[in-house]
Amino acid sequence: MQFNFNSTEPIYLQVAEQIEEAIFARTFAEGEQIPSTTEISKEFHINPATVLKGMNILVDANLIEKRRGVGMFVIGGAQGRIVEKRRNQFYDDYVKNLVSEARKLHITKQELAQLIERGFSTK
Amino acid sequence: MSAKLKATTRYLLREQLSYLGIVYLIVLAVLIGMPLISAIFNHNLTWQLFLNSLSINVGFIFSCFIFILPMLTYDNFKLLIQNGTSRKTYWRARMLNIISLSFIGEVIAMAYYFFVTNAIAHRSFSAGFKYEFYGQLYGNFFGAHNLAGNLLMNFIFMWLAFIMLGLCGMAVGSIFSLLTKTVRRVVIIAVPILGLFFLGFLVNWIARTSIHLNFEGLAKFLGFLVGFTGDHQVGPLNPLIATGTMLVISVIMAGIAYYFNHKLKIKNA
Amino acid sequence: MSIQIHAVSQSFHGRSILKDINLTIEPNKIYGLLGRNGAGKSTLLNIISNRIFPSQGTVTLDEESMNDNDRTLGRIYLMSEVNLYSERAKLNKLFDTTELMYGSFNRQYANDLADKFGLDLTSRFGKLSTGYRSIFKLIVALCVPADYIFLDEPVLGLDANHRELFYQELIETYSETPRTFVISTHLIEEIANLIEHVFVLDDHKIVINGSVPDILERAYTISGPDADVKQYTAGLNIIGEDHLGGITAHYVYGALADDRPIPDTVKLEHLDLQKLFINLTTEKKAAAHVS
Repeated sequence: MQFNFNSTEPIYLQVAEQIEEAIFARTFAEGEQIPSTTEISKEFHINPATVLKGMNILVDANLIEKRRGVGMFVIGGAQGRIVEKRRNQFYDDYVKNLVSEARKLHITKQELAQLIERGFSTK
Repeated sequence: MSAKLKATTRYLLREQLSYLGIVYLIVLAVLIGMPLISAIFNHNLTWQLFLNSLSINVGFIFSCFIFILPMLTYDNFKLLIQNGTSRKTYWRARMLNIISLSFIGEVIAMAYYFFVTNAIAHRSFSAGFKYEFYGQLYGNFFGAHNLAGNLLMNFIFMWLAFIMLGLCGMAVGSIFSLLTKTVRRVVIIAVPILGLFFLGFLVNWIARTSIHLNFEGLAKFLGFLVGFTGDHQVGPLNPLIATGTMLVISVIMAGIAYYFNHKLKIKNA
Repeated sequence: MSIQIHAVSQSFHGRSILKDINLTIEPNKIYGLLGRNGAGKSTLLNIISNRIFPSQGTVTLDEESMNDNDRTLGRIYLMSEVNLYSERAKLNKLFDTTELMYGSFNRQYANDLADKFGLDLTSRFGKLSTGYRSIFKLIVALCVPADYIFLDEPVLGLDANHRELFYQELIETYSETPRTFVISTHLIEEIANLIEHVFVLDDHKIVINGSVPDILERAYTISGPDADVKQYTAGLNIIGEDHLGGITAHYVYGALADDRPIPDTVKLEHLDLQKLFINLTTEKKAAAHVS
């Protein structure tokens, strides 16, 4: 597992995002155990309470679950739910920025559509 | 007795008993070993010489030890405050320590005197008693033939004397540990010098003033403190009065030690 | 349930070292105590642990005085820069003494840690290098049965590997047996995410006292063209600034102006703890001299 932290966002949110990203990328497969709070905490020198706070976001989002005395596991269907969520956020996260940047660069609607076409055709 | 006090007392006692052992070993080596070795080299080693060299005053050695050791206040304070022990507990543990060390010291001193020194001199028990420090001063207070009573009083008296010495050392040590190294050195040098000056000044002043001071009262009082009653019936000196004096001094010294011990703090913190 | 530091002031030969310090240290949390050299960190820790006396104020643990009290003193441990262990003492013996005085000591863990750090327990304390003295004291700090553990410059003289090992062990033992750690250090980046709550001492006073996320939430870098930045940050609590060409960065601590729109040309970011600390504790006069 590789975490990249930045300084501008609260750490617990970053912990949640990074684990979510790992589930999305199937680094942590459904039904599998993810690293414990202490392990993550030790590896990145993050306060265990902070890590737990991040994990709890994922528990609340129904992506991981705690099995008493064993640890945290990825819930079945978690990856699908992340995909679903990201699809819903796609417009806000990417399209809005894309259009706004395009406007600054005087790229027209047609030109942008063409660029998207090009993006899809090159792999 | 709290667990902390017990632990502190045990720690200090263990440490100081080992120091006492080391001191006795060094003394044995120096006072007995050295003459023996030189005798061997000079080929004049005799049994009598060996026995003579064994006649050392263990009580005197212990009295130096019990005065100097409690002066070493700061090192143990450092260790104890690092280990979550209060000043109060440190003081209490040191009190218990001085009392028990003095007991052990007197047992050893008495045993050594009667079973080694006195035996070598071929004296009887009761004869040896009269040669002892206590015996010479207060020997017959409980009756010339009451050896058990006199010995018991001897033991209690010397025990208390050692306690008093220890407490004096502790009081001085507690004051010293509040001073910085430089100030401590200055005090060590200045106090005797100033004392001499003061004495000289006093003598000079007395000599110059025409008034004839009457020191008789003071001398009488000091004599009384050590037990001089002027009653020749029971022997010259009364050990009970001297015991009382020592008790009072002990309490005062313990109080001084408590007061300054309370102010102990880590230096260069 | 907490350590309360109430109105503590300290002065020495008329020079003020601490001014009216009020803090609460709660159970089972990791705290950072930050401050520049001479800010009074060590003095504060020494006062809390009753090694020295404050000129004014009190320290209590669960409403019981910390002064001359075995019960409260036995529940804290201060690993200090000043060495209070005897130079002659063997390390093993010092473990014995700690165990005797604190009533218990995690000997197994202490031996494990000594192994991991490569510390020979048969050596004498006085023979150790600065780094290994720190390591020895750290081992005691992690194994002693205290509820509140104060670490003054814990990684002094430790190389990067040993520092890493220490942080890992700290988290490990903290996760297993939660208790309070208060860490005073200059290596802020290394503990920035480790601490839950931070105290910043500057100019003998506490200038920051809060949970780390809350504090960072209120710390901003506002950068962009000089005029735009100045216009936006006017009236805000500017704690520092940087200039590079025509670009100005203002560091702001506290609330932003909600009613003021952020110009397109201006970038708003959060500060990290180290940067915040530097800006809060730089002497403003000295900075003016330089520029």
